[in-house]
Amino acid sequence: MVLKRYTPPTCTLEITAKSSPLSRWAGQPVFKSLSFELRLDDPRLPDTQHVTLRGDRIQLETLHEAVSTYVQNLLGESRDWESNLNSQIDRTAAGPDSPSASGNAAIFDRAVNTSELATSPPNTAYLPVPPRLEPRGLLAHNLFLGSLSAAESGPVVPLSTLQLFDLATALDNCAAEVMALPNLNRESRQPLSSPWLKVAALLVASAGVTTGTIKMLDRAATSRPTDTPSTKTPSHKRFTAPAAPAHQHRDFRQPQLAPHRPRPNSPHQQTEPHPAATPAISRQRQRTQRPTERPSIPSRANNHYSHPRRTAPGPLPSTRTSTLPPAPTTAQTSSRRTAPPAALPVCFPISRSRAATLPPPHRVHCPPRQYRTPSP
Amino acid sequence: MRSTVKSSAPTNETGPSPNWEELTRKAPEPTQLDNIKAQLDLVLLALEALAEIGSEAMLKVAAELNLEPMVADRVALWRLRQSNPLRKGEGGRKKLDVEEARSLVLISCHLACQHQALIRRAVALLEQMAEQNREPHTIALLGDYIDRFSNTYASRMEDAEKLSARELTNLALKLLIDLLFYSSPGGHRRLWLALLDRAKN
Repeated sequence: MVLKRYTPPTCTLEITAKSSPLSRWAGQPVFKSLSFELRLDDPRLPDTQHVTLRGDRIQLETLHEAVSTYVQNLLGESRDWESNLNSQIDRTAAGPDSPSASGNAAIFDRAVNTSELATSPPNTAYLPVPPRLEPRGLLAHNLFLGSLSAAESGPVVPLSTLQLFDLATALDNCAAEVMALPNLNRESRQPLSSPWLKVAALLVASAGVTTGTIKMLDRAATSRPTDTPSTKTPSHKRFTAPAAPAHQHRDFRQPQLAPHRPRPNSPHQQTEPHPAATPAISRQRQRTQRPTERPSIPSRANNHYSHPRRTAPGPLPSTRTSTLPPAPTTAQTSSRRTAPPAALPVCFPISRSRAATLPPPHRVHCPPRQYRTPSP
Repeated sequence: MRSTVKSSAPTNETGPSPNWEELTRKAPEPTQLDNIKAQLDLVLLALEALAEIGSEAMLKVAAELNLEPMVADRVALWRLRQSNPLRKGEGGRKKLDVEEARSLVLISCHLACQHQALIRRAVALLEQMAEQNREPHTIALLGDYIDRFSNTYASRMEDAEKLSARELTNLALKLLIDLLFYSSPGGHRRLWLALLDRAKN
């Protein structure tokens, strides 16, 4: 969709972007695949001299930097007005070989190069030559397009002062309004990662659900013969647990400390006491250990895709909401959240049993931020 | 100063505070101020000559921008502009401090913004004249501007005798082009940075 359009008299700058589904969580618009189309369509010029440039966000930022640095250098020129202005009448004759012009270009080149260096690590592949400008007399300027050049435009676009001013104004306004918005910049990885995201999300979710069920059934079987504190609670409460939002489970730690042992909720608490019990139970425990270890595989998968997830949030909400219906809704309404919801299933098998030992009213008090701490 | 209290995000023209704050990020050396005073006075002179702006209009803008403490009345404005070291006469000259320089920057850019259409037309005509290889004088708008600028410069500045008519014309045209860039929403920042740049040399 067209996000913004800037229409000073001699050019048109159009910004297009896709609104990302992440906007829901960010609390403000988030855009991805931002691109621009710049038409240098001065009505005083014939149509054949109109030039259209297209590029992505980084190219737009580089162009903005190039133009504003050039303009600032132009304005900051000190006392060489006289020599510079003498060439203004015949603007085509005055080339960049005048001392002031070449000096200006040198300064400008340096500025652009440093700016390119600063942003080069991620973009060197597709932005080898940044745009730059050179004066052509006092009233005219040459815009060297670099890698922005299109077949129709050629490498250099002559700009009048008014065109330069309009271009600078449009880019300034755009920078103030559009570029300040958060953006998802790494769209290049998206096509590659999105199928993996789906697979990984499904994997993690299904692992969480299966371990949860196995554990739940297992606990139901072992609760009768053993007297461990973690199994004291009536088993029916445990069956209510899977419905509870997973992100709340971790926050039951603190309430749990008071009624039970000093540190009942260390990650090994559930598995450590049991090998000391009867052999039959320990065998059963070994079965439950497998599920508790299994999240380490999804957690790797989780780490694997939680990184590109920011770049491609598309498939995630659908899989997540389908596998864990209650959690996301409460999570989203409670606060704006950027924590990866895909981490939920990792802590799911461990924390679920913990939640089962707790009275439901505590759920109200859980601060959602703790949800970000890594699962043990 | 009192207008630095508020801090809001981007530039808008409703109040001086955000714009003012932008100008406080960079401050000139005391030795640069003389140069800055001269430049600012010239920018205002160009505006006067092009748009026939008088001190009333400048004071009105100062009031709009809540800069009255700096520029309270006609005398205060005159004293500020008289701080230009190029000015003739000693009487009433005062030191221009950084806050006053910033105030003049905001006033100049606000005025340039108000008269952007006129500045634009003048620059367009100048480009047209250059393309046709004609003297800028031959167009009424530019001719009047150059005449007014030269006359006022000659009556106010000490070094006017040293400058030829051609040099004065070039100075006027350079200032005209600069005014165009100062008339944009970010013009105050451009003018301030240009003043600092020029003062360095």
